[in-house]
Amino acid sequence: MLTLKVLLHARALITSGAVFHCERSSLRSLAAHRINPIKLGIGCGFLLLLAILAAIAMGSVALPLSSVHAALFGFDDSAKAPIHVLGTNEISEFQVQIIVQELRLPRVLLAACIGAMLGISGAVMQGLFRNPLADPSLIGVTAGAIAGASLIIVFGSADFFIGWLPAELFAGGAIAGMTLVSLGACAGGSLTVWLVYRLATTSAGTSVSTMLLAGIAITALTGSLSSWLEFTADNTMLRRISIWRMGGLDGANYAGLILAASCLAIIAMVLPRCARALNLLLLGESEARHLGVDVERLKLVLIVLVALAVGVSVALAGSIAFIGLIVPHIMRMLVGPDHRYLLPLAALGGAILLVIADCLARIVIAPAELPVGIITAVLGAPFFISLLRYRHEYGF
Amino acid sequence: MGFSLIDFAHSILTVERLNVAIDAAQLLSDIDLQIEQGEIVSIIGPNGAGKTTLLRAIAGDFFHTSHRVSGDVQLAGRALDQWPIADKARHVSFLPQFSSLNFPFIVFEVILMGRAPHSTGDTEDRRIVAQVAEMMDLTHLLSRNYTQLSGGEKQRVHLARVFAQLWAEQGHEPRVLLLDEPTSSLDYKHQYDVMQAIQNFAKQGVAVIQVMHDVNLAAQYSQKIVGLVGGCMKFEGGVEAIMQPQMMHALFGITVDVVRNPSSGLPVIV
Repeated sequence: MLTLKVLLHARALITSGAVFHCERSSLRSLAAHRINPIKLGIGCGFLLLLAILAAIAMGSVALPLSSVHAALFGFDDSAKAPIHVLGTNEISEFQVQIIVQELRLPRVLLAACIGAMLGISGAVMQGLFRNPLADPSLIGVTAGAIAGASLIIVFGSADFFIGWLPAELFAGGAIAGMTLVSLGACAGGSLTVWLVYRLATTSAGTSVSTMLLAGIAITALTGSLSSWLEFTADNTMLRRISIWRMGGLDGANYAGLILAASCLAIIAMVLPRCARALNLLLLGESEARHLGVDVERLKLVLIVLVALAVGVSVALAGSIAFIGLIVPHIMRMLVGPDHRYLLPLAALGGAILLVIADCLARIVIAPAELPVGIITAVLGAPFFISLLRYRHEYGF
Repeated sequence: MGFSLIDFAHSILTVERLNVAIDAAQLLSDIDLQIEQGEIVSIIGPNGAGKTTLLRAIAGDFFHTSHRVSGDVQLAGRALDQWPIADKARHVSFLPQFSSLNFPFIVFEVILMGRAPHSTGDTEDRRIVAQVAEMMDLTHLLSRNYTQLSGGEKQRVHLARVFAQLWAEQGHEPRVLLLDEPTSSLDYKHQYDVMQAIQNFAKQGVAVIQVMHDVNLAAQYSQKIVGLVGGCMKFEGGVEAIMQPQMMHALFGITVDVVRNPSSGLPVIV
């Protein structure tokens, strides 16, 4: 009823011609079903900060916010007394500092970065394929990464690689935040994207629909490779593979965080320049070209960015389902399909969702952990289904 | 840019020995065409004659597909593929027959996309959108969701978009408007509105090339008519020369009578 009234009011405003003299924000409000993207962005920003703080405080050891603040910004002398933690014995400042600075802070920030990258890549893929149901895994990057990781888990015994990879990798260590398995995932993901892109590119340009089909084929192929690897694996390897597949941020450290944050920074620098072109691409490739968009270059840039984002995410946190599909979809329902707003909002939404999901993964069966991929699906799917009931109102 | 120095009588678009083929199928054979500023040219012919192919070849669509194109298309004395994409978009706008837009933009945003090649600023772009929306009778639909419109309304939105793209003060020549069946899903009133708008563009010096399935509508509003059959140009000429029973028979294989429109005096086939 209220919606109807707003709509009628909007019509009256428009027909009186007032619309052409008002600001962008008020024209947007005339599209009655939309939320002002600036306000939503500010709201999401606050929510993200809140989620990050809460996620640092919560976990198998719940910390009061005051000590989280102290651990982040330094203890003052008056807080020398031992910190009482709910339900457990008291722990020292030093322990709190370790928990917050070495464990939770990098993990929560990594969750935010990866969630943002997954959200953004989902939005880009849906624009590129001009299909609101597209998902970053469509171009085969996830399946390739899983195959690469499985390959390392099964065959990656130290004597296989000795001599041409740094020795610390085999002691369970990492370079640039990447373990040997992550490197395998990254290589597998990049290789499949390159293959899919090559298959879809002819002298006439890159065909998005061929890319979709090639993606399906390559996904099937790498999927069978992964299955074969699982078939040959022993029980320990099988367990490692299956846990890796479900995704998790338990391996987070500052090196990985820096890697993810730099990728996110690159994406954040390049993508805003593509946002308007991506809007035009929704009209169709030929139409976009007639509106002055260099479509081939745009497609290349977008695919490289998505491959980078998803490849790094999968390498650092395994395959995390659903964020790339639902977050952009939800944001589009709220603010409309304009990528200038959709891309940053999908990043914020993805970050919020993954921070919350990872926090839940840590506390649901504490002190053990659930794979975060399970949580994202359990959180996301019902929300998505409830939105589907109203999809006609949003024009899908 | 210096395009304003172009002689008004000089043809701004020339097509010479244009051939288009895909796989073994020859879609267009040896098309020659010259279009002058301010001229409205209608392409008519039966289904599958190559009308859309000709329009798309002129628009330069086949540089990005697997079609084989030979021949020469020149815009303002410069080969079409020599025009940078962004530059061409300020001078040529193209309305395709179908649109596959399925994202819930509001009508205002879709029309505003037509201003993307220009950097005229937000205020000016909004003014132009308001004007073209008024012209296409879309003002009351501006805040509506594009995906929820009817077929005819969607067509008007895209017409408004391509009109907005060429909306410019004079001196921004050359301007070419390529329209693939601009009136195919419109009612009579809106057909009339669209043809009036096209004529206004032509009066400002815009060259218009349109594929028309309604021969009578083409005859009422064009200076020149091109008849295509099987990818070959059967004839090209003024309205009076083309609107003849034998011409229509050669083109569509039907027998017609040609009468006069009592108000305009222009020929009408019945």
